[in-house]
Amino acid sequence: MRAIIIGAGKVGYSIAQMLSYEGHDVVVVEKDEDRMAIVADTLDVQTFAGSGANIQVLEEAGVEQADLLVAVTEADELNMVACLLAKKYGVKRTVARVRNPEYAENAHKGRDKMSLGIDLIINPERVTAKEIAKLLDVPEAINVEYYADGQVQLLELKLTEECPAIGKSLIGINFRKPALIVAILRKGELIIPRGADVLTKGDIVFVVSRVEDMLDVEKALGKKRDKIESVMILGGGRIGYYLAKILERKKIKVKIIERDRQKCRELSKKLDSTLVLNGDGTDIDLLKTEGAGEVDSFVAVTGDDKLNLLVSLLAKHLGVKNSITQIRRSDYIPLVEQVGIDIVVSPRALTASHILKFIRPSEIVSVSFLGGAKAETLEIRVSEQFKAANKKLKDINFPKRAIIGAVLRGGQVFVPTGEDMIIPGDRVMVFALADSVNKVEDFFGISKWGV
Amino acid sequence: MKYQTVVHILGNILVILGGTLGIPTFLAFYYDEPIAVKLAILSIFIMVLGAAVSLAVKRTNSIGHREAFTIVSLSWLAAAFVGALPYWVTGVIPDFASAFFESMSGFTTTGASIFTDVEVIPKSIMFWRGLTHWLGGMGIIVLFVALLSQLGTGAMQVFKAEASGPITEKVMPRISETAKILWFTYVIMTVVLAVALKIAGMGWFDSLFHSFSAVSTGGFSTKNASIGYYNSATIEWLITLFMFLGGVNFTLYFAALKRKSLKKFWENQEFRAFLYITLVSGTLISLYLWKDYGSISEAARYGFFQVVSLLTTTGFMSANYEVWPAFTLGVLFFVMFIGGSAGSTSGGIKTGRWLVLWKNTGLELKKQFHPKAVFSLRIGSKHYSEGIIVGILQFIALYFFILIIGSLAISFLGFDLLTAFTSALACLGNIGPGFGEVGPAENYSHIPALGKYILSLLMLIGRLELYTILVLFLPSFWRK
Repeated sequence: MRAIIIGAGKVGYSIAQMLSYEGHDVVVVEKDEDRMAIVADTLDVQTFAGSGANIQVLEEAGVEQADLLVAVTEADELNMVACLLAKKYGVKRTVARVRNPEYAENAHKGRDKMSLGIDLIINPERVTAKEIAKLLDVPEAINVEYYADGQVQLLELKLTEECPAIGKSLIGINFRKPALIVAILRKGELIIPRGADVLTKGDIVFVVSRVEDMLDVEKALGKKRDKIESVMILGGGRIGYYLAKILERKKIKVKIIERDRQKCRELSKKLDSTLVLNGDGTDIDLLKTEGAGEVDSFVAVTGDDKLNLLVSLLAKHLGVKNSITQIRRSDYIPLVEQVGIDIVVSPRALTASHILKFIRPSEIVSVSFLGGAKAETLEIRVSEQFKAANKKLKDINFPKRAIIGAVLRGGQVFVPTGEDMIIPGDRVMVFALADSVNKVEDFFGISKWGV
Repeated sequence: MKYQTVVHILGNILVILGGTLGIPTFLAFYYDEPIAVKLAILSIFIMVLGAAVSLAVKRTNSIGHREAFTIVSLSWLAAAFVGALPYWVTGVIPDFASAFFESMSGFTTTGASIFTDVEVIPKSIMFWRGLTHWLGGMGIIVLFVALLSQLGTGAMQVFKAEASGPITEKVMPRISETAKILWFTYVIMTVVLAVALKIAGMGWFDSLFHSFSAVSTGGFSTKNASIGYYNSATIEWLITLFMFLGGVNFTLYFAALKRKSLKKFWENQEFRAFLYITLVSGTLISLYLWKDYGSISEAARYGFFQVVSLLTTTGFMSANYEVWPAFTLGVLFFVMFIGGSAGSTSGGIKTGRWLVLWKNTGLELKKQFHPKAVFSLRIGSKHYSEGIIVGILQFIALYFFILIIGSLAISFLGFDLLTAFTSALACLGNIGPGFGEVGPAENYSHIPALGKYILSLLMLIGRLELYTILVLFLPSFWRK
């Protein structure tokens, strides 16, 4: 498959990297010569200097043979124009990053007649806000993903001292409900555990269970769910606005702190029950008087990583239980988690994974990236030609660095054991380390990345 | 100031007024009244005068803010003056002050009357009383714009200077189309009510008259006992409903019709507030009157009628509420300050302004313990800027100030405080009846001439929402 990526920023780069790694022909179009040189040096892709809205550049990049065009430059209009042109050339799928809500919301209203013919319009701020809102539903988890039409939940939990399962082997833990620990992140290394492995303090575990059983499962791991009823948001940019809007709908009390007075006015016009505060996030008096320590969660989403980090730590110091911090530089993320921030989100990583989810082959229902993209979970529709059908799982030669977390059969979900079988028509949720994703796809006979 | 434009348009207004005077003239001939000839001469004289003026003085092109205020104020004064002539010339009202008061009360839809016995008035003159209500209810200028649509670029300024409520909306791109739609809605409502009243047992003349009076939220009646004369629950409930509808923003009817859904009403916060105030005050009074009237349905019939009548600033009566218990009088007194919705035919301060005051009070209280918070005041989806809020609060304060000055002036003429205050309130709010010597069983005939002129001025100030008249008193308004 030939894919054209327009814009070699962080998002463009990671998509180009992924696709090229998967063995596709990738062409990157970028205006900035320096950025282009970096891409040309580090990735096995073709590069062109120029604008993605220029027909000559597009034709040179081989738009006529392309199956996919991803436009992720900083300019909304350029991205949209590139996609519109690509459609005229017969490109099957187009993806545009559009930040301005006035354009982006056109695509979300579901009015086909008015849509511009862009297959996926992705709004990074909206995606980030939705992700944060999802995390606030399960505040004790570092990450949460849903599979099988929302019936199965995967939680990423950090084990604390209170966890009764520490020191026990996996086989010895009584979850009382069907559940499976599919991976453990220990000292920065991700492992797929065996039954005899023992949990230690500081482990981050990835646990899969049915949504309604998850509360019991968490209890066995020493976690308790506190419903989030009040949230303080630092930063009244687009992420802050979208998040406040979502939380308002869930009847959560929201306070937003924003430095810019004009932005505050705009926010107060657009939001209903949210309290908009005009002030500096580093003003500890403001944080104290508005009760930053008493809210259930503190979310820092300004454009400044350092400020987000600092104020989240301040809020932690004031006593807030749960904090979510936006960090743009994804290379900082492992570091930030070390200093006591509960959850870190990166809009770029989320955008990239959102786009990658979209361009997966049709057998794969959904895909999510975990542990800083060290692992993926794939939800796969098992085809009629599946070669290991009707065999017990313990007898199958399943890829070593991957594990089946759950099976959806006829609307019912179960966590499989070695005695269970996979049959065609099932939907299986597979957890795989990054380097074995290919093997998993081969195992299920999935045509590679066919767009 | 472009005086030619003002005079030219005034001439046109005179033509329209003279033309409408033709209707009672026709009636006078039809009923074979001796005053018919006098009315005919008057009607023709005014039309000719108006036509001569507007032909003699050519207008210049555009209309600015000053011209707009002057046009509206002078048009209304001219209407009140011309409207007084039929009463005076025919001798139905011998003194001019009373005739002017009656005419002003008609056009401003106040409904305060100087007649001690309305049942002896000739039919033609009686019809003119009703017609002044009906013309003034939707607005003389709105009628002018709808009929002639020749105001050009300044039309919106003129329109705004007459319209009721803090914010004026266009329902159509062109102001003349908007005016036509408003009048059309108004005509339909009037016809529906007139037919309904006829079916409910009124005569044709009376049902049309009361329909004029109810939909315009005026308050004149053909009977001394007002609506109470008919002693019919059906008629009272019908009129209660249409007084309420007259107090609703007229643009909502059009919006609801366009969308073909009643949701438009419910989405409008001012409408909801207006409805709640009606229901709560009506229910409170009904419960309180339960014992006096023996049954809840009777208590509700009289309670709601009086509440809606005073809330929408109509001023009809179906009972002498002055003999009611003190608490119910308190509620009625309270609703007299509220008024109907913006963009309706009713007067008073208007529900929308109270809504802004109410919400702003909430925000001010919150600011006390969230000193850094930034708030914005919204009603429905409309955002109110600081400037508009200050303007609205200023309006309410100014309203009370004028009310106090007005009461002072009436008390100077020798009236007790209750009479002085409620007569000023009833006239400024375009309500009609007050308490004490101007209560529901009384009228304004015993007020001295000076008092009648003062009250007429209050009616005009109230109808044109303070500023349009008050700017005329500002010396710098007249300077170049």
